Amino acid sequence: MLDREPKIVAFLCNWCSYAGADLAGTGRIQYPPNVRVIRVPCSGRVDPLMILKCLQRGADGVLVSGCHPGDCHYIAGNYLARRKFVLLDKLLDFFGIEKGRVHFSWVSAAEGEKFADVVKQVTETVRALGKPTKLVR
Amino acid sequence: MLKMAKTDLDAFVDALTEASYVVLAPIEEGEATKFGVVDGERIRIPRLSTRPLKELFFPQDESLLSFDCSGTPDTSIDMSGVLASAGISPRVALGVRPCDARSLVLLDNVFASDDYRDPYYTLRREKTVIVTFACPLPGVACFCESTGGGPYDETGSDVFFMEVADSYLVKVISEKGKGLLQEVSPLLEGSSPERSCILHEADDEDIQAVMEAKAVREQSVNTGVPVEAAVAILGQVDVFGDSAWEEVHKKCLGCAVCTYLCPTCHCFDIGDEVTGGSGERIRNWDSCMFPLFTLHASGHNPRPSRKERFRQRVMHKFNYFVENNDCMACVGCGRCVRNCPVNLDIRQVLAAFAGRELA
Amino acid sequence: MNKMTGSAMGEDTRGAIQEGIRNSAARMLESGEIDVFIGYEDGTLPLRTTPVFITRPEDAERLVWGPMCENNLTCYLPKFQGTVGVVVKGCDVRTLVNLILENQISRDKVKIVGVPCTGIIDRDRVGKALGTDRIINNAKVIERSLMLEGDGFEVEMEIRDVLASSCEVCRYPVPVVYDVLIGDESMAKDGKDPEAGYLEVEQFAELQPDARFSFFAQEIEGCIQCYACRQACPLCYCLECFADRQSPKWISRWRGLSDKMLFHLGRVLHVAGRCVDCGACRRACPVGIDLRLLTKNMEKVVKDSFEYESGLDIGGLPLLATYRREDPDDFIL
Repeated sequence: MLDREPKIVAFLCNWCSYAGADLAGTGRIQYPPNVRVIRVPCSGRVDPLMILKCLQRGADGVLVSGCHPGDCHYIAGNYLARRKFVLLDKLLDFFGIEKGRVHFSWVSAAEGEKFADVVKQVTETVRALGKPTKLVR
Repeated sequence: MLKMAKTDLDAFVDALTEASYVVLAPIEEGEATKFGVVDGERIRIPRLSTRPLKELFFPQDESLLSFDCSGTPDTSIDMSGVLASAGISPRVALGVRPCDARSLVLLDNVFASDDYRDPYYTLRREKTVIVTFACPLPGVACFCESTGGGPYDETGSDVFFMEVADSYLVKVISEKGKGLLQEVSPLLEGSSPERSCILHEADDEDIQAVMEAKAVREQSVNTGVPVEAAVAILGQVDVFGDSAWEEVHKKCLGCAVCTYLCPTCHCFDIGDEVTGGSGERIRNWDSCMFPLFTLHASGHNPRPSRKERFRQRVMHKFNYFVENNDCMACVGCGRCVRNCPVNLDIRQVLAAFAGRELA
Repeated sequence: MNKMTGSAMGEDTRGAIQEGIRNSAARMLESGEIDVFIGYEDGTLPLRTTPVFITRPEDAERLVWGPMCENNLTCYLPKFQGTVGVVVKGCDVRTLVNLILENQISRDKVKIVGVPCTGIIDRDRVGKALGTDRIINNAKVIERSLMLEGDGFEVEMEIRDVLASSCEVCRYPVPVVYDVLIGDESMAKDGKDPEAGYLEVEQFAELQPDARFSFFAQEIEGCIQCYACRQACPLCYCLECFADRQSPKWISRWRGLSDKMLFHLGRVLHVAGRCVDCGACRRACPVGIDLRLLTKNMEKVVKDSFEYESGLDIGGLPLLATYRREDPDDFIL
């Protein structure tokens, strides 16, 4: 269990998840203030290296969130992203990085409630994992 | 000349440790061997460590200074702690091979010359006694004799061990080596009879035997590499544009195996690693085989292809270094030959140039 | 082409293949079909061959073939202008297929001389079998044996005992694409066990995560960042590797376990779905880091998750340039 507040980097797609986070805000839905949001044009923009770099430079967890399958503003960006995330997810697991450091979610612009839930879930998982030691420089 | 039984080597090392020396000898790291601290474990000296001796003096990366400009308007720069850590306690590099010992003398030209004395390198150098072991039968990639060294070459060594049957003959080469043996002699008895080392004078017979072994081994090294001839050709003005470079570089993959494992390659890069206003200035190995080595900020690269980069490596070793320091930057250890992923053999490159006519 | 009887790779077969390669090279150079032929010639050390670039038909005599032809020559292809002939083994041709799929070379600019492969010798394994520090002065391949001569010894080894680990479990020893095939397909099936291919990966995956991490930490600690693995890989052709980027700087060369890990993780991700397990990276590594475990696992992940095998379909699309709606989704919140 982490004895301080976890820091989580969240890469949110401009068209869905970022708007979803916005909706959570305007709807005054409470969620943990542990995410640092980075807005990206599409979940397909997220290079797995960016996720690794976050973990290396001290993020306790990373969340990548994009549009639901079929809803991508660029038609297939999230489908292509999903393939990369499968690879990264399995690679990190095989490498021995604890499960639960890196999360992926689909959150639409209408799902403020879901966004808040995802952030709650991710924050608690990351908190329970404790201090990261493995990739940290 | 002194003599000790081979089986007493571990006790000898114990005595060094007891005399508060840090003992650095070849240790295994995965499938490779490199010089590292030994403390009590058995010494096993490979024919030649995978990684070169140079990293004891010029490590792959090191911090030159640390700075902090986060708090006050003043920037504080602290070199003392870093230098102290580079300062280290007295050390003994044990199990060095003659080619590696010789490489230090070449490196001194760069880091400890009259023009420039690198504080980090020289400090480590001063604090380290080099205990060299004559080379057993040289390998097929070795060509030390062709570069002026040899399996019994004492250049760069402080103490020199030579194998004869079940013993080592121990020869003191330098004042530093003499001091080491004097210091360690009273401690050789060790903790128990099993773990003690007896060092006594060698007799004429032993010396005769070592001379014979020396003759055999020196003969078995490849002396056929026309290094001198190649150096003469590479010294010519027009060799830079020679068409031969096109051919000899072709299979080069552009990795840094040859430069990083070379005991004499010494190019480095310096950069700052900063986190939130404070950080350290670091120096790390760099390699002329990488495009980044010469890449300008403008994007222009004066050595745009592997041909120019490969030429640089050969020219630096066998021409520029010769012009600057009167010796070539190669000791013939064969590491680059042995480890090149595509068997690009520097000996063949030298032969290709040696075969050309002098203008 | 020389048809063989039986499945043994005898001296005659090897000689015939070598002759076939020489003839093809000479013929193609003579007819002007190709400007250069890339093959293997004898190396300067025992157990080694070395890449050679032949431009004159009469030099084709220098070409050799045998289980010491370890390099993946397709790594040279993107560099060349003009039309190139190249000798490929079963694995090499799959990287070639990927290079074509990824528009690095065009199919009509390369003449593929394929050889059904019986596996290549792992030099480290030979060294270990012999005992470290023994000097091999001479190595010869006779029938299915490797004859080694050195400082006062003569040892015979079965080649199959010292094959590269990737060869032991090779699925595609016969080139899947070629212009000329030299040798008999049946002999390449000799003694390989592709089903055992993922055994090591599966066993490793059963370890505790901390144990897996410690293993990799220990392996990668020894990395000297020479990038030989990257340079030897035909699929690492980026003009500027992420590891060389200065702005942003992904990889530092300072105190590096974490940075070295990032490099290796990044590299594995970059070759995911493209790597064909030719083993070039593993062989190039001067400090013997076992990179294959990571890449082999990735190959398995790709196969299990996407039913995709790299480098087989010259008309297909690269793994990450396409998708299916039914790709795994269960890990996404």
